[in-house]
Amino acid sequence: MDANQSSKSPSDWSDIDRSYRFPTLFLASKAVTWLLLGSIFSLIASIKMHSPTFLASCSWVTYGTMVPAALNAVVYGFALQAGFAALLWMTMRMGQVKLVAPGYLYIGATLWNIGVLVGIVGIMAGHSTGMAYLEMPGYALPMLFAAYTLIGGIALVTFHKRQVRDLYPSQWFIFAALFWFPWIFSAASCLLVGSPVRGVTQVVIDGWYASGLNVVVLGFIGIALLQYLIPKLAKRDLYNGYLSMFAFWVLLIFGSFAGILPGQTLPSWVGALSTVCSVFVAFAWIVLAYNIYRTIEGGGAKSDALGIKFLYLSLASGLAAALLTAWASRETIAEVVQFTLFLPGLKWLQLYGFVGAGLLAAIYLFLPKVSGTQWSSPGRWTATFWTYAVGVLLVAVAFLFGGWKHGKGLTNPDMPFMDIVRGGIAPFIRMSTVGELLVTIAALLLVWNVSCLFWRTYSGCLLNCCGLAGQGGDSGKSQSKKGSK
Amino acid sequence: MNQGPTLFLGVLCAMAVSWIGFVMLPQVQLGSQSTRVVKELGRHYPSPRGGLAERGKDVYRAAGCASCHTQQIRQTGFEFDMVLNDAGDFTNSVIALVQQANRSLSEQEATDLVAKAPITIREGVKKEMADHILKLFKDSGAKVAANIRPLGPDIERGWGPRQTVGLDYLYDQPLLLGNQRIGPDLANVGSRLTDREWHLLHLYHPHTVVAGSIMPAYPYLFETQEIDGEPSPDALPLEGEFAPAEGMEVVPKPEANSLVDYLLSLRIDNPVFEAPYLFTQAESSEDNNSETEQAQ
Repeated sequence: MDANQSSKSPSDWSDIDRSYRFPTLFLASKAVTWLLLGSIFSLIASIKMHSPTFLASCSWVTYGTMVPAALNAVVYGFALQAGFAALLWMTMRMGQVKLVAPGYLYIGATLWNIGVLVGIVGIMAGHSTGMAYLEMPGYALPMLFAAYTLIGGIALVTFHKRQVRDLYPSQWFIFAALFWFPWIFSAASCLLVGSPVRGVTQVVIDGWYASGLNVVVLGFIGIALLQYLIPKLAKRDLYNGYLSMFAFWVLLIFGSFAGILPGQTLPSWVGALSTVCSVFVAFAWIVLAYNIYRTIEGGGAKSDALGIKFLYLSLASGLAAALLTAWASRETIAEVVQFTLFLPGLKWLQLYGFVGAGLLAAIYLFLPKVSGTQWSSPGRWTATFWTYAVGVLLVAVAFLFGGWKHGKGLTNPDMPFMDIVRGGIAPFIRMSTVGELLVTIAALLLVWNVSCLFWRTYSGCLLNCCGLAGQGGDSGKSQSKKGSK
Repeated sequence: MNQGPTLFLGVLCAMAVSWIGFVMLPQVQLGSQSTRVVKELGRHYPSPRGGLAERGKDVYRAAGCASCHTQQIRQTGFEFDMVLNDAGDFTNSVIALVQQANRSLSEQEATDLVAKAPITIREGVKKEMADHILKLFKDSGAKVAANIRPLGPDIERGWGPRQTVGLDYLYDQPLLLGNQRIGPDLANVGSRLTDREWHLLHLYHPHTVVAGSIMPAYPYLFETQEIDGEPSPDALPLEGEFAPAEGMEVVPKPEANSLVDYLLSLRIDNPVFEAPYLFTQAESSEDNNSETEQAQ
């Protein structure tokens, strides 16, 4: 069952795409800018680890502000924003429906970006809440929520108005992510920042929010992209819809409990429950990966080599992150890797590897279709892929191996802490700095790619408008969109 | 078939389950936790931090110190040290019992030990053995106690005497437990490193006190000012490459002082019911029976 098999004529498709042209360019261009900013923040943080006086005289740029600023820029600025763009587009394509209320989408998207900007400036100004994944200060959170109600509302109305009533597996994931995000975001904001609960309950709720955001919201956006794009590129239907449905329900029910390692100062049932759920999540991921593997295996020629490379990177990282999380949550392993670099390693695999690569594939494949303009330099995209992939893997491997060594040191009380720093932390952070530099370069290339496309699309429309090229109807529409922005 | 409604209901149920599991249940379990009297302290524990330390916590949160430092101590288990507090009147039978309790002792060694009471007669035994030894001495007239010794790399490293528990953080808002140990754990740093000046130097430039440290410097917490007549009593004793220019001195800003106040207020130095340790002043063997049960 593939909702992409359509009875629509090509002109209907371009109609749908055109309704989404400028909103998607708006979202995508902001998203890649945030990715660049986030990568620069992580690079600064990383350099601070081997040069204690680097940018030390400014309270805005400490290691402890750069790390959350980078995380929030990448999660809220890049991943969620590009994720909204991608899932709106998939909703429209699979439901064969035009975007409703693009004007409100601009308002929502603008508000979202202002919210993220205010939040990140707030973190740097020292107003961080100190809660992982929710560091943005209390005054930024309502802005983000209001922005989301607009964006998510438009997505749900568009979903509801779909012409094709049958649901394709990716649509379940999109639908669940759309509901899950406002739910956990508002609950966590109220209980951690608004009127905070006491003591270690904060840590459990924060862990719940982080898992919900990573496994369910961002994870579902990534999975929806994999299940939508890979069959399309392989020119095949998804191997088995039921396997996908199985994975969907397992991830939905157990996903938000996964990922809290046992051994912290929390009630011990929290870690135990989380361990069991992490294993379920890993199992669901194996099923998903098998389903996609069987889809590719029987497929014909891949229609886009670079797009499929991004998607393979995404799939492999997602599977590896889920398996490693399950492995690390075993009590004997958690004793070693808890509190070490292993955890940021998992975060890199999940956020940059799985979600990030999936979204870059979406940007690479969707934007030319939506904008009606080709990428100006395919070579630059190839360079983007390789720098990004090598950078992400280098950071992940450095942190995962370093984390293991770091943990082995911590569990050996006879080893002085400075020896752990010299042997298990410093060399691996140096290695990760190289990876972060590569990711920053990739983000820079990406911004360049998208800006070129952005400029060509706009200038194309302007030319059309002045009657220098044909297709007057098209240009008029685009121009009015631009005006409404 | 339109699966929209089924999907909606399913997602709603999953949300409810997720919320009950990790939001409601922890709150039901821990939400009503309150301070309680700790016998060894003779007062309610925990108590709120002082104003300066609370301000220092803000500096700690704003600078994001929790990105590299945890404030939680792990424990893998515990052992007992058997201590003879008082040999009582029947020395000969007690010597025989000490030998029974620790079979590696010769008679001479046992006699010496008993003469030196209070003294540890056997180290590192499991709960069953501790109970057995306490029973041996029950009617001997001697006072024997089982001291609880928490185990685990964090504790052996000297980062704290026991594991941290939920009670320790009742007044922490926001709670900055941290999950990275790029730097050492700070749960008990106020008892481990008590020197104020050390902390100030360490914050100004870690290399002044710890060679090869990868901690960034925080010079913005300090002011470099001209020496106006007499040098300031607060000026940091900086030497060599760290010394300021001639005629200048480095003094801590109020933020630095309150941050150090906060660091010094981080102490895990009393047992609590959930995490007992070492009761050296235990009175009688009966009392200590209840202690071993507590530790379970």
